[in-house]
Amino acid sequence: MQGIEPMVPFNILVLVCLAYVLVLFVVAFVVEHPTIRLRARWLRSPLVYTLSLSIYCTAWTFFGAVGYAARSGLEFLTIYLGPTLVFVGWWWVLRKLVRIGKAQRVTSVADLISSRYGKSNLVGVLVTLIAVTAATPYIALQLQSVTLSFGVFASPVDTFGAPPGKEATALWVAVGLALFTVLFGTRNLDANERHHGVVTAIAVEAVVKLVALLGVGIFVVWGLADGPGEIFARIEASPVSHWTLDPGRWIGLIFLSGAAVLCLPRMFQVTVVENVEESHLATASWAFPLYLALMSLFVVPIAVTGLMLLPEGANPDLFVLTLPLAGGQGALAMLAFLGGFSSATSMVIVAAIALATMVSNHIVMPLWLRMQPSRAVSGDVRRIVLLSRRVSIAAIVALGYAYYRLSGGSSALAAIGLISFVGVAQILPAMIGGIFWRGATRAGAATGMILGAAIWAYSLYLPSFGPDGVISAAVLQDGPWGIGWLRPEALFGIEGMDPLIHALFWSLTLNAMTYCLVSILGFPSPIERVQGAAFVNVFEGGLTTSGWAGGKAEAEDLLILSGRILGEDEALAFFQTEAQAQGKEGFLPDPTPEFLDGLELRLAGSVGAAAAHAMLSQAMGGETVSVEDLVAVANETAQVLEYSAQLEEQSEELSRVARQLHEANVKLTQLSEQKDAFLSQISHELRTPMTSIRAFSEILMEGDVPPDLAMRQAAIIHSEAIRLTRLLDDLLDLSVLENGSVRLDLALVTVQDLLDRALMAASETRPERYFTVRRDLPSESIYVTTDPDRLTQVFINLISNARKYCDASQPELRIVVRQRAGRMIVDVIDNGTGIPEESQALIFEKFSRLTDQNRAGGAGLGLAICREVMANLGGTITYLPGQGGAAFRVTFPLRLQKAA
Amino acid sequence: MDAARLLPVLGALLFLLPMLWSPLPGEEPGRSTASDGLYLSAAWAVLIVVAAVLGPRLVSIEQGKRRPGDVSETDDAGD
Repeated sequence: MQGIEPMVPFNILVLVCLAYVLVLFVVAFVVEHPTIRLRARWLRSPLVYTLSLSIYCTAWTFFGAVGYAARSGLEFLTIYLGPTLVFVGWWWVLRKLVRIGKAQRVTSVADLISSRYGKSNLVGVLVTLIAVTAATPYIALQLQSVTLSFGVFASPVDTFGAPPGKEATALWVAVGLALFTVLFGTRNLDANERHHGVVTAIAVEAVVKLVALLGVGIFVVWGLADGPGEIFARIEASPVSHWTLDPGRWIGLIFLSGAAVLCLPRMFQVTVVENVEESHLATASWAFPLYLALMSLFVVPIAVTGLMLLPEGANPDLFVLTLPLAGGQGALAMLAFLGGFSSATSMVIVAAIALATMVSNHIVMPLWLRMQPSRAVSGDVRRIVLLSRRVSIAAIVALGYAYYRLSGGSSALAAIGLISFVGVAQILPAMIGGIFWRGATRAGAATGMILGAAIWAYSLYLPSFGPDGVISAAVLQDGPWGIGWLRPEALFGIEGMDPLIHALFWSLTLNAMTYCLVSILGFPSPIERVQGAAFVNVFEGGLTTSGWAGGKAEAEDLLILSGRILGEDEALAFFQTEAQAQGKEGFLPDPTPEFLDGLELRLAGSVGAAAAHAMLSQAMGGETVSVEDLVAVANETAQVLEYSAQLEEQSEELSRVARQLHEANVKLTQLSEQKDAFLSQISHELRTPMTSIRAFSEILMEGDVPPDLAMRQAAIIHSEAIRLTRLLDDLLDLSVLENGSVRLDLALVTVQDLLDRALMAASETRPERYFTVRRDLPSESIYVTTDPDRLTQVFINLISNARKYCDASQPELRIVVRQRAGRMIVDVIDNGTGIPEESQALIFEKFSRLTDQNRAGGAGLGLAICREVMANLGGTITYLPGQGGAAFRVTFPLRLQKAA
Repeated sequence: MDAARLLPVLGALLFLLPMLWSPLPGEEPGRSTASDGLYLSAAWAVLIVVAAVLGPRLVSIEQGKRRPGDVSETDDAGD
């Protein structure tokens, strides 16, 4: 077991790595191919989602956990217990984060925080700086572990110092990782910042990691020992079991790892940004803890066995590799090597993508936008965004490499990881406060994070470079300028605390306190309040930010702007759907507030909320709307809406009444005109006979009139008197009928009888005209109970009217009798020109007479009397239009009951 | 739903329990690391099982709540 030979030449190892990366590349490429992406639904399954979360387990976990266990016993478990609690409690925080992420199209953790605090870029920059600073040692850690594992394979294991070319290896690994990330992470500018290909490749790597670690574990438990029983005994006997559980560290580390799983940019990327469906969280809530449990299952056995079997001084961080090598299991060792390589690459790729998105959206793009002099954004923004991301990725990996060189790659893996965790945990108060507390303000979040990050850097990050690294040993020992209570690892004179817990405690406590205090003392701006409400009440839904009132932008300018960010086709498609939604043809919707909000969200998916907001603001002429304005507008709008609804109702009623009034007025006017006409008519009618009566009676009074002349004159007087009497009779009759005090004499008669009598009587009118009368006698032989005299009067009137007024050269009268539902219907139709439409409403009125022609002594009372008669008989008389002549319809009941 | 909310609290309690029987730093370790490990694994397993049982139910509750509500929200979240 002592001499471990180098198993693989260095260049073969490099080939294996390249081949592995190539496989990942193919996986990612195939998955991103459109046809595959549509077909393979499992790619969007909760399984892939859960596996992609495994980037939490980096090389630090893969190699470092064993080293951690060898040094500190079960304490390494805290790193997994925290995330387990967070995921098991997904209903609290993760679900809300994912929902908000979808609603606001969040692209990164910095975007989330900046969006929450009024799309403030200051906050976004802060989060980005913290994240980049914290991630740098972490990336260095990955480089270190890959370099170490290369060293194990490519050089004699017993020279655990620096194998030749270690720096060169790290550099090549860094360059390779940066290339791979650039190729995959920034191939396109996804509207949702999702990278299906990368996620799937990460899931594959997750499986490799798990299988490798389980393989080594099984080999250790059943290969190097006789099963669980012996391992149990070995654990008891090994120095590992001499660890002591420090309650402060135990609680602190569980809390820290829980915070990290929420705040780490790469974890946020896979958990929230890459989340396809909220329900996947439910699966991940148990499957991810299960994955973590499996990953940690064999850690202690491996550590214990490694300590026992491998020579004194062997690096426990590499037991996962060296144990199979020592056991002669070359293939297993290679698998373990690939597992560690997977852990490192997946972490670096996702972290670099997440951080590059943040750097590009919150630092590069705002700077670039500021440099644009004009309102309109010119140039291809897409290219610039992609370029800035690529450069950011390279820069971030380069930073990691620089840290690796600076720190000398000497510290234990676990320590670096935890330093990084404390850094990102500074985001936690602003994040949790942001999604649960509406009163949180931008100023609070910013000051809290600045203070927390400063304490973290001073008390933990900078000292991690070692004594005299950045902070001099003297300062570490006595504090700056000899002020004891400012010593980086014993702030406020509290000594004896674990440096990590010390930094965690002070930075987070002061961070959270400042955050709360400044938030309470300050007052949120309008956009902050709107965004705060949208975040905190995300489950109530419906609340969206609406700040684009009174925009000046032309739709065409916006189309050009979004074309540069989303791509021409996508922008055109988006504008067309929006235009259709507004009911417009073509590609240019009206720049309504709703449309602008939708556009902003869409752009936010590509360049982040703050940049999208800034771009649209520029396009809109830099107008910003204050909260007070918004609230005032909202109040006014609500009032105006209510008021206008009332007004509308009232005006509708008014116009209805006005219409009725107008109709009534028209009728009244017509009636009044008729009355005037009648009065002059009646006076004329009365006056003419009166004049002749008076004249002839005066002649008669003079006495010397020949008898025959006197006779004639007396006859004239008589006939004129009869005419007067008839006129007066009609008027009387009408007034009686109108009062309803008419007496009806009911009798049983056939319709035929009635019509016969009427025709007979009417034939006296203009007897010189010959009328053809068409009747259907069988249909008329129906017995009815009615007042025969009155009904006959109506028929006489109608028939004589026809005789009087029908202007056809061969006049014809048609009488149609029908029976419908207990009522008789009698139509009297002639073949004349009929009655013009405008007069049809008037003919039944008193005193109406259509023309002066054929005036036959009537005073225009006939039809009015008919109407009143029919009303008294329980029937109606109406004019029937469209019968090819004047047509009247008379309806009356078959059996008229005597009024009680 | 309340069970889902309480689960992490229960988990935290279970995970913090070993502090009770752990000796103060400096004292002679009076307990077995291996059995502590077994205890934590068991607690872990319990949490995983309970979460696995609760997960699908919560999803169906959630979907039942969403479906009769507004469709636009799901549309928006779906793309």
